[in-house]
Amino acid sequence: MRLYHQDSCLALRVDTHENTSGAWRDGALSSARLRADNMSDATVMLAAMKAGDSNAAEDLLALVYDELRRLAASKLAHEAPGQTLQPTALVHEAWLRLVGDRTPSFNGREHFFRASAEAMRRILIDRARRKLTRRHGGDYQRVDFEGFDPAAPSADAQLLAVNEALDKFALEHPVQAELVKLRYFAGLTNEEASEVMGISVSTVKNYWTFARAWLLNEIENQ
Amino acid sequence: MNDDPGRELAIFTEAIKVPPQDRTAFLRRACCGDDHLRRKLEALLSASERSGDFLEKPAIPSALASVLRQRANPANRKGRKKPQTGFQYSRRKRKGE
Repeated sequence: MRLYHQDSCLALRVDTHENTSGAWRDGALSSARLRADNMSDATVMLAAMKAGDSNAAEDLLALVYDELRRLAASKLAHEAPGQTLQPTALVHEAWLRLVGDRTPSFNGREHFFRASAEAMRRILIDRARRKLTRRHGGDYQRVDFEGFDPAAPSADAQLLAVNEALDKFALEHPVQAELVKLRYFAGLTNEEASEVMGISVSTVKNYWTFARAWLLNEIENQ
Repeated sequence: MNDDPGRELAIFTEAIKVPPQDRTAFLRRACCGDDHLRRKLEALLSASERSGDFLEKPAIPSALASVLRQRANPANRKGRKKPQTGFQYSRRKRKGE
């Protein structure tokens, strides 16, 4: 299963508040606003997750909201009647699917963190694009960065700018780009990245200094 | 397109340790007449001076980073309760085949 379907995400675009965690807490998700395959079942599942989870998990769920909603809907469609799905288990499962744990060998922490970083990057970029295009109205289209005021970029525009610069960076400096993904999209510390990548902490720090300079320079010259 | 990315990284890493007032001379020596490379490095060093805490804050919430750490830790995995999902069942089944 492909990690990510941009087109299907657009087809399932949900008219939620931009702050999805706010929508969660307000309970403002009415069936009419969900375009899941099975609207009432998904609503029940989402309510259960909301009731059972701590604040930390709420942040997690807010972030992967669209992915979980689709997974919950398809899962419920295939589940045996009477089967109870634990909210935490569904989160874990959704996460495993997102990072491609179905591959035969998921060897090592490096693979896991790289896959997680890549999955988070795709989710974040898609969300940023959708939020930006919603603000500008109209159909989905690639946003032209020249239209943005560089003095006050929104977090979304900034994320997209970083992502674009990162793609270019990866062409010339793939190892350093990988470090950026691990640190920025998987939240690893220098020490953790050192362990995962099998390089010294001092090398990580050198790479990190270089990467930040390179990306900033690239963004400023975009 | 960068002809030698490795060289760009290596010279940058050395140049950043050199006192700012000595960098111009250092770069001239290190770049051996490659003006394109030297200009790129000057731009990178300048950006580095201005980078502050650029990218230091991860794009994901810390709660999610914690979940990733727990998930990746083998010690935690051993003690993890088996989720009651069909997906997990079929995965175990595949492993046993």
